[in-house]
Amino acid sequence: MALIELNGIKKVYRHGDIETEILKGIDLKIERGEFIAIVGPSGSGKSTLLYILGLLDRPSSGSYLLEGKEVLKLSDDELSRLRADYIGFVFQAFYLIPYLTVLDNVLLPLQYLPRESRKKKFSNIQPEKFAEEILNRLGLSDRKNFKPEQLSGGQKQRTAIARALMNKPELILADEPTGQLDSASGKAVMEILKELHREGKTIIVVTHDKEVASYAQRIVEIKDGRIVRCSSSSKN
Amino acid sequence: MFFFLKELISSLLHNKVRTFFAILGILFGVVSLILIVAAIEGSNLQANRVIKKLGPDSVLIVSGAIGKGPKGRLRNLSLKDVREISKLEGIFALTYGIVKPTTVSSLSSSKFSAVFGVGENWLSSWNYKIEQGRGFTLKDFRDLKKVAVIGHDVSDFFWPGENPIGKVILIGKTPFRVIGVYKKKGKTPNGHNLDNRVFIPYRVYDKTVEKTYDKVSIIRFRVLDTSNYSTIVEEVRAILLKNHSPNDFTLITPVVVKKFLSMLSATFALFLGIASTTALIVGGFVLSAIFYVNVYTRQWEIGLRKALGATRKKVVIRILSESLVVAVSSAITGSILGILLIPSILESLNVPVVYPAKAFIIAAIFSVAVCLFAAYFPAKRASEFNPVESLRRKIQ
Ligand SMILES: Nc1ncnc2c1ncn2[C@@H]1O[C@H](COP(=O)(O)OP(=O)(O)O)[C@@H](O)[C@H]1O
Ligand SMILES: [Mg+2]
Repeated sequence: MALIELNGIKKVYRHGDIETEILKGIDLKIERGEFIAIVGPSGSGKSTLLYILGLLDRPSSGSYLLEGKEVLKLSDDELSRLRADYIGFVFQAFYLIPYLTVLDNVLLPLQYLPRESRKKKFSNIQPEKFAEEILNRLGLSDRKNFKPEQLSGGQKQRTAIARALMNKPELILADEPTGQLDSASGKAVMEILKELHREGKTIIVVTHDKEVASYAQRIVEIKDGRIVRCSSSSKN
Repeated sequence: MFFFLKELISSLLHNKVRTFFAILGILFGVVSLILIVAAIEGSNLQANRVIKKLGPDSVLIVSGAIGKGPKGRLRNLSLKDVREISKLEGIFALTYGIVKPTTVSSLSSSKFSAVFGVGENWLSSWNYKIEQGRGFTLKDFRDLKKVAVIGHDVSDFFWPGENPIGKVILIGKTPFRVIGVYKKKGKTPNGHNLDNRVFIPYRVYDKTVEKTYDKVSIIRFRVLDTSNYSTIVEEVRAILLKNHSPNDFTLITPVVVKKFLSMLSATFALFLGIASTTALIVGGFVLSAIFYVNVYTRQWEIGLRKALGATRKKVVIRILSESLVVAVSSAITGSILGILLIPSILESLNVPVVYPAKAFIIAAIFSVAVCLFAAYFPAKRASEFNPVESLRRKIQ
């Protein structure tokens, strides 16, 4: 069974009488452990699709099966709980909370993880210990007590990735994760995602950068709200 | 839990100006509430003290109108009033007295004391307990015995560490034999010393200290059945009005004491009540506005928390917790300010200084209630933010 199955996803924005269809019927199957890049020109609806995939936004119509279960009929709060459990977000603008240290930013999602999942996921490791391990792995252990403003762009994005990993999600969604980084730190970030993929995480990256897309196994190209091409990457 | 608190405090410390003004807004209400409750408690305490001294079943008639200077000097009442009152049914322990500050001396020294010429029952009616010797007997009154019952301050002054019973003191120029010393009574709520007093029979006072012309300063009696209280008081008032003009006397009953004392606090309570309610409501609005502005300026943060899996409830709880910290901080700061301000404010109102726990508890409860109520609406609004739109609001 596919991890995610989208069928006929449409997204319409209404401004008064004017309706704009941003997504015009997306069908997409994502298997567990895939590394997918969603590419396309700016304004083509990539972020919109990613937010729908991340259960952060609801499509205007269509169906969304997560592990075979229709999730669009769930309430907002049920979707929130699924997000805490299944999905880790990485954004272009990092969204680190300025008054929290790196470590506390990483620990932030823990309080939203439903109790049962928390018990299951942290049965053999303390969450604080786990957070330190991730930071260690991402080369941030000497920065854990820093505030975000004291970090470089690459360090900020690595902190955001650490935060996305905190709740041990199935799926990592990254929206232009290298958009605000120089090419060296951008590469480093992509290497991390690639490594996470190798460990079995399902990863979806939105980008308009060919270089970034080449890290993925599969490239989904959208244009004007439709998937125009779906191809395997040459690199992998 | 620990992380939640730590994160909460960091966020409030991060935005010090907001937190400061939110606390300030609530603080005024808290302080004035503490003061008002303390003042009411203080004046109740005073009323109860006075009533206890007076005796809850007793009626006191003093010369002159209430609140018009020292009443001890006035002698508008007379033995005629006493005789007529004594004929009423349902009263007991009727007594009367006249007083003059007089020099009292022994062979070697002298002091100023309040010398009272008193009627029978005086000691028992006013609850003077004999500690040494004895009180007056009917024989003392009938035979015009020159005997005195004295307070501790008097006996300690003339015969420190000695037994004063049987000793002789001069009141003015007349020698009196000390027959009793009453137990220490301390001070009146107004600060009069109750232990620097000398009591002698009324008729003897008339012959020795000064001519009384049958005048008295104070009449006092008690009521057998307090359910008849108001009837008896009206009968007494009728007698007095027959003999005097209304301004010549004041009937002091526990009801009057309560009314008089609570009249003061009622005006004050009303003033502070309005002030503190207004302050709290304004504080609530200020808090609400501050929190509204705040949830919009950090809308992206709320969007992020939702992206990380925060449910509506978690968002509401989070923001209410922030306001709860504001409430508790205001309550603590307000309590400290209240403790500092209570002495001067209550003293200026002539109310005994008290620090009633009730005042602090009420203020804390109100502070929490107002804060939670005021923050609820912005919190609700924040919980309904669309996460995607909120994330797009990030000000870079
Ligand atoms: N809330 C909204 N209301 C109206 N139009 C929107 C809204 N959000 C996004 N859009 C529009 O949807 C289109 C696709 O946006 P987006 O998914 O962010 O594109 P991409 O990420 O591919 O650049 C854009 O034209 C954008 O202006
Ligand atoms: Mg985008």
